[in-house]
Amino acid sequence: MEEVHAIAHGVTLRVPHFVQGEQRASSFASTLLAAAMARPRREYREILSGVTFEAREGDRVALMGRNGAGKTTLLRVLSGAFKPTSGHVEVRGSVQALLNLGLGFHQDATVRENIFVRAAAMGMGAGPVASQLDAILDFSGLGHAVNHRLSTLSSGQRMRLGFAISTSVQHDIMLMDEWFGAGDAEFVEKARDRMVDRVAGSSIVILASHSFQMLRRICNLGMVLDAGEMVYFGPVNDAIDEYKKIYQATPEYLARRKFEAENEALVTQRIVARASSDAGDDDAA
Amino acid sequence: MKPTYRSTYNEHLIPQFWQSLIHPDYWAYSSWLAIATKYRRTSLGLLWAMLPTAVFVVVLGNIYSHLMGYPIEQYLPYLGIGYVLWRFMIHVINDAVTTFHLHKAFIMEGRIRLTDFVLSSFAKAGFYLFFGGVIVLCVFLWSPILHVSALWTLLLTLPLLVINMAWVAVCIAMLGARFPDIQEVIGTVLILGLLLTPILWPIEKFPADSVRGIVVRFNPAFHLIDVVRAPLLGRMPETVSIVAVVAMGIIGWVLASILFRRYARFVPLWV
Repeated sequence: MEEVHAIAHGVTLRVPHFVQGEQRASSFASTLLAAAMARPRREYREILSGVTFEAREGDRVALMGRNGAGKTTLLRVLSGAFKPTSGHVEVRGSVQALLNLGLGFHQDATVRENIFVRAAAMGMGAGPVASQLDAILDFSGLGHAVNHRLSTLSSGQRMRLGFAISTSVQHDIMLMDEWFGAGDAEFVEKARDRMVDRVAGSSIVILASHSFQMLRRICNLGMVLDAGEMVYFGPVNDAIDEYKKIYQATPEYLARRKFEAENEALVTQRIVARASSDAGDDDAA
Repeated sequence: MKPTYRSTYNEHLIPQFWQSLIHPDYWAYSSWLAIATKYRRTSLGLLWAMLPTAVFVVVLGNIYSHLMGYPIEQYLPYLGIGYVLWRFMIHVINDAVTTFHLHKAFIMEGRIRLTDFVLSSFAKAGFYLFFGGVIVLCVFLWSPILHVSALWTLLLTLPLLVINMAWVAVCIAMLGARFPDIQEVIGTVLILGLLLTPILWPIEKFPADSVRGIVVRFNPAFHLIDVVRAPLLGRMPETVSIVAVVAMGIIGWVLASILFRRYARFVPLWV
């Protein structure tokens, strides 16, 4: 039995991106003119630098970092979409990336046709899809709409369909960008059960999220990214502490804390006022 | 055995293409769906895939055969075959140039081979070629000077055209992903191309030994079309056309392989 693993060694990713030159537009007209005339500059930016880690069978890795720290990019490197500029990635086992649920739907095709095309995009043959078709329809609760055009579905129904197809098969490795949990009350419950099931069935899970509570519950390892660099990789509770240190050092956070410390009386007063008004509401109800 | 992904492994074009060809589930199904659903709400349905070609060939054929002074029995097949092949070529090129941008979400998911997206633009063009072929077949049955038996030459000549268009599609798709200008360039070139390529007018107007004749024969589209068209009309294509098409095929595939090997990894960053 071969072991499932995901290894990244010194992964660095430099991407070209276009920057519009600084505009010192003073009037409305000159803003319009500048929009048409200014040529974008091509610049290179390093969005991951020297990320090294190993995830072995049974590992659940929490991926943390502020917005723009490179979490999604790292997931995309692991899924094979981006190739590292230097360093390398080795992933053994089948990978399911739950990054985009609305992927590749044809608006004018029916629900049934969309299930086939989407499953084909996920690498499932026509045979396995046909056998999954009923299960997918049942799970998404769209059995009655199987021959309706996709454009007639609500966005919630589409989300259900995407979720049902994406999670219809168990893979060795799951890459997730935030935990999925939207939908109406009944579906949220079903989706949660399904996700717990899939996570339990996976050998490795790598999950980017901001919810400490959930990360503590699911993960054993944690990785903290900051501006593309891996700041910490180790036990999840320590990783959460590291991550807290980072965002607690940001100017906005410091300013808020300073304000709260200096105006302690005022803040307390507000909290008390809110609590008593809530209590008042309760009494009224 | 578990599948293993190594980021250090660089994709080669031909094995990738082959993998895409033997796993047609995604690209064949999605491009067929795109065509089928496009006409789904129209009353005539898939007839719309044929009608424009039919109208173009019949109407323009009648007018231009008179303008150019050719018997319509001879001119209509010439125009029909040339136009259907030309349409195939522009479909491939037009779709290839935007294909990576259109499939950005899929590319970001990292699951599908890039060649699948090239083939999906190809498959769409192929379906239209098939519908155009029906029109050509009608012309064949109608025209007294053509022999249906000439159709077997397609088995030999059509692959030559397709192989050439495949490398063109790969190169254009990669260039289109990197330089948005390519889309504009192609729009301009293709309009000129229909008039400059011998489709509406026969190549005999410009003998190979005249200066104009030499210039006209620098047009690769002419050779690609004529290699398929001439045998259908019962002529041998010019030797220069056969040589050009074979040479283009070889050089083109080498070029496309190098481009793909070198730059395929950057496509997700460009789109």
